[in-house]
Amino acid sequence: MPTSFDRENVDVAWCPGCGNFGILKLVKEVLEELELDKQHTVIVSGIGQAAKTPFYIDTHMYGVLHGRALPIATAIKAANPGLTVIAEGGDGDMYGEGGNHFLHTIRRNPDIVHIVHNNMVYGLTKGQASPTSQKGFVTNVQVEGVGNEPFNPLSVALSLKAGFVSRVNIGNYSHAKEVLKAAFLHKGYALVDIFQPCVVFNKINTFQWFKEHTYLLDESYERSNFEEALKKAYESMPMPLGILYQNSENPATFETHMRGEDTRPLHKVGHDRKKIQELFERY
Amino acid sequence: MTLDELKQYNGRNGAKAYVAYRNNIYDVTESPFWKEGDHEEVHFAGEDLTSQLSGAPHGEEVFKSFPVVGRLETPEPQSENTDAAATDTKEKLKTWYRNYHPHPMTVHFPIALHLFAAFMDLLFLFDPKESYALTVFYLFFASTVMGFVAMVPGILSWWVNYDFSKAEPFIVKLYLSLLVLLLGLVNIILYLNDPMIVYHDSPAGITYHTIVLLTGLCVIVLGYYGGKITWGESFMRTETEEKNRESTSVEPLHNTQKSTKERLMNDTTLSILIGGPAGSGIDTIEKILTDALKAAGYYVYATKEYMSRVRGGSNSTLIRISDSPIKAPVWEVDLSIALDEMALEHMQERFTDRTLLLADVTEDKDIAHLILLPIHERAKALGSRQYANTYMAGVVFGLLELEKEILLQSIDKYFKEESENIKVAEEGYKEGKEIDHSMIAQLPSRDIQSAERLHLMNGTTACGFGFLAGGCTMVTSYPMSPSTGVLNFMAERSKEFTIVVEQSEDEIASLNMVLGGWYAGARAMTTTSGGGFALMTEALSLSGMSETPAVIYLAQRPGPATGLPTRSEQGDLNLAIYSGHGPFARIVLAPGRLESCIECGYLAFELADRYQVPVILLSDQYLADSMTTIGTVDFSQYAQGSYIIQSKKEYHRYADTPDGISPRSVPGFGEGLVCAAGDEHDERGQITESHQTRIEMVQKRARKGDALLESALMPKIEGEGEIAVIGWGSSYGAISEALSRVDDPRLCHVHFEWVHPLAEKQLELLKKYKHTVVVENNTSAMFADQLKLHDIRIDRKILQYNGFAFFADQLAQMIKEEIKEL
Repeated sequence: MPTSFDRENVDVAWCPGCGNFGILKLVKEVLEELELDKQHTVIVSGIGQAAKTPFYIDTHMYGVLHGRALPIATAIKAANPGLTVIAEGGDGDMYGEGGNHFLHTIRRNPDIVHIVHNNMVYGLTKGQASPTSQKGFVTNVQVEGVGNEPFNPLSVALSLKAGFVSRVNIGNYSHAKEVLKAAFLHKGYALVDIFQPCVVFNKINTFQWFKEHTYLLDESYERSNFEEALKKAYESMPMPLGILYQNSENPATFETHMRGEDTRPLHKVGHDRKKIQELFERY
Repeated sequence: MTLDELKQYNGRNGAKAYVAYRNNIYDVTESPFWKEGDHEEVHFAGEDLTSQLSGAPHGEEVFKSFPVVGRLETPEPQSENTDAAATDTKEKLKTWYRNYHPHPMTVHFPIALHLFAAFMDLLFLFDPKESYALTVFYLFFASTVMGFVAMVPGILSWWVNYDFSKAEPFIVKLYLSLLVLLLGLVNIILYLNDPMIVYHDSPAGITYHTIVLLTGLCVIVLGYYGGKITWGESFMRTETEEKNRESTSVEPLHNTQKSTKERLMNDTTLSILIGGPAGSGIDTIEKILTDALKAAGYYVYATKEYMSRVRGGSNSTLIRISDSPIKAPVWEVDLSIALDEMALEHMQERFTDRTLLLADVTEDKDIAHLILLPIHERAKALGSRQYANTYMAGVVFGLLELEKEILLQSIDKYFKEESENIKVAEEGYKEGKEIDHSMIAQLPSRDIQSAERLHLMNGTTACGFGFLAGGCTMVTSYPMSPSTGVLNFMAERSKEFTIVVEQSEDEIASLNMVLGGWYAGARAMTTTSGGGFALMTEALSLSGMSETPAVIYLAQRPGPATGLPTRSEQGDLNLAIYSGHGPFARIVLAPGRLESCIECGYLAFELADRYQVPVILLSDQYLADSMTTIGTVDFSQYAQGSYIIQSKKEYHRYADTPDGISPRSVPGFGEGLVCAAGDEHDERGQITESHQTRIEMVQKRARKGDALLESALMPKIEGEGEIAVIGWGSSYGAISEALSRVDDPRLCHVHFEWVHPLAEKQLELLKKYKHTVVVENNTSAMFADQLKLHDIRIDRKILQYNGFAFFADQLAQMIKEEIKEL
């Protein structure tokens, strides 16, 4: 289905059958269905196969460095709170190279949507382990299999009191769309970790594997229960899908903490030279 | 009004009667003493009476009763006793002299010839050949004639360059050369009278040979004193000091327009060094004293150094006061206060035999002029040892015999409510008054009114004002000495001026946030030092590729790695210029004065916005922490330009333009989309691997680098000599004062504040100098290397990397050494 967010004249660089196609479609449709205005939507992405996504979506975008999308997205939101800001990238980008920014962006709580394509492998650099690769995963580098404990983004985000923590599987498209929409509607930082297969470099964690190792949180799950969410975040095999946690008390976002009610874009803000002069005269 | 225009107001035939005195024009029309423009039939209206007053039975007070109607314009204000025409001729001669050096050019002939004559005469005495005798005479004749030729420019030099100084070398040279000339004439007459005397041991013959040998000795002595005049300075200093004493009382105060030469002749400064352990309140003394001394009418300067040695823990602050602006530290001090034994030891290297010392030590040391002062004991008796700082401030003010009330006001201002400190300071003041300070030769003169129009601040604050003027709306930083002061300054003003200030998790985040801010329309900056900046270099490269502006305040400290965290060096120039992968345009500014800290802070934002490049402002610990006075700055000149356009639907972020600058829009401003990328991209901002597009984009960015050269700031030039002493950044004050101290007309200070990229117009200017001496506060002469890359020859380098910024007195010595051979 074509959307108004389709970018024309682009050469999509993903392999056929890649899970990224599904996520691209998902994001565009969510933007369309939420009736977001492309002139007020910015997607910031780092480096990686996943980070190419904004080049195929017709909004503002800033393709930055590996791991650095979050601080840039945070600053964009603070500079112009009227924008809808999305930070998007893969598991290596957001949890590995950008791991420190991940921690501190959660602490800041900017009103942005954080979309992480999690395929448990490095695609762009051809098949090395990612922070979320399962133990024993053999690659050209991890020749005897991964020995490190996999990074658990949901428990980390929860431990830092992230306001919206969710995981979806792109294989379950309609559920993913529902959760992503909720993330956009959440006021504050929202993490959406999306399971997706890499058809070329990850022969273990396939569409089938994700289907078999996940389950949907049911209707009765109380998403505002923090302790319950922590427990859910540590569940594995199968892993829960859905909104594990959403806070209800709406803590101040980064930009409101910084600027209060002032939502003017900063390019419209200058400093009064008379005031500077007065300040100078006090020295 | 010029002198010619003044002549029309001669008071005759109904014209107004105006007279000039010391450049003021007074209206004397109504005065009964100036009827028809005639005063006592001696003085006439329409004239400048400055030089005539000394012959009058009254003093200058009479002018006070007349209204001042204008200023007399003269190209150079003349002092009252000097004949203008004579001075003018003298200046012209001086220039001529310094271009051609006639004395050194001629003086070597008589010296060499006399010596050679003496040598030949010795040969003759051993082996009396006729050919030897003839050689001796011809040599002697030529040397006497050349001696006369050399004396004329020698005396000219004595007049134009040394003002007929009566110093010993001049007097010795004068008498000795006259003697040589006279003896020369005697010998020539003796020989011409009877050439055969050379073979006889008659009185005439003995006299002849004695004179030949004696003049040979005389020219050696003459050469010695000539060298002393050129290179020595000990006697010149006495001369200068003499002049200081005579002139300070009559010179107008606070004349910032003084030339270098005049400054040297007239300035009196007093340097006070206060030392003590960290936490003993030296900072407080510095704050109170600088404020109070400024209020007392002095130009004030203060700088501090803090140790990072484990043993010792001794810090010090240097305060200098003067009757003219002062912008550099000195090593040797006039007055020093040690709050403990360790401080005395720590500062000892900086004492001279003229330094007055007050120290809180128990036993007398073998140090000259040491006065034992139980500061802490006195403070304790007054309530607490913690009052030592206010007590000392009182002592200093009392010792300098300044008004107590001024100090008390400053103390009041500093402590706000506490009143105990006032009492303590008063006691200290009493103690200070009792101290014999006769050895401090002279205090600078002062002008209480000046305090009103001077502002006291350090480089940190001045840069902060620059960034405010530049319209900074976002600061994201990770704290790091010595850059944190600017972060604090901006944070403190963030509510008053709308500035988003965030402490980031690391420097990587800092600069990335800055880029996010600019991308969305903020004027964003970060503050850091070398180590932090090293982490930012990846994002700097993103700024280059995505053409997102950035402003980085980089306050240097000595590296590598942690280096000397609390000290100073200009060691990160190469880091600033070369950091980041892949080539891209950037601007590096390095202010050296408070005025240019403001200017460069403002320009950093304007240039970044205009050319869409990262701009790095280089400061260092010395500049950041040193405090001095600055006159009023007119901030209305710093308009924040608007470079952001409202986008149209078909907007392309990287549109190819002749100057390479693609109009920049921001998200939410217009119908277009702003697509920026760190990958190589096409005009839309889409990733591309087309080799044609790559070439176009590389060239587009390169053109931007060429375009920004037109904004390059020319170096600041002081002096007219042919030897350029080249500095950059924070060393401005030290080089400027050092050159005043050396006072060699061959020298010229060329100071760069726009240090990268170097523009043709800057380089052309350097090429006209005969010699170049580069002064840098680093180990490898990085700026000299930059100049060499542009084919500028570097003759000498003066480098210092001991953790201190240059001290003006030490630097003067280093410069003297280096230029000896030039």
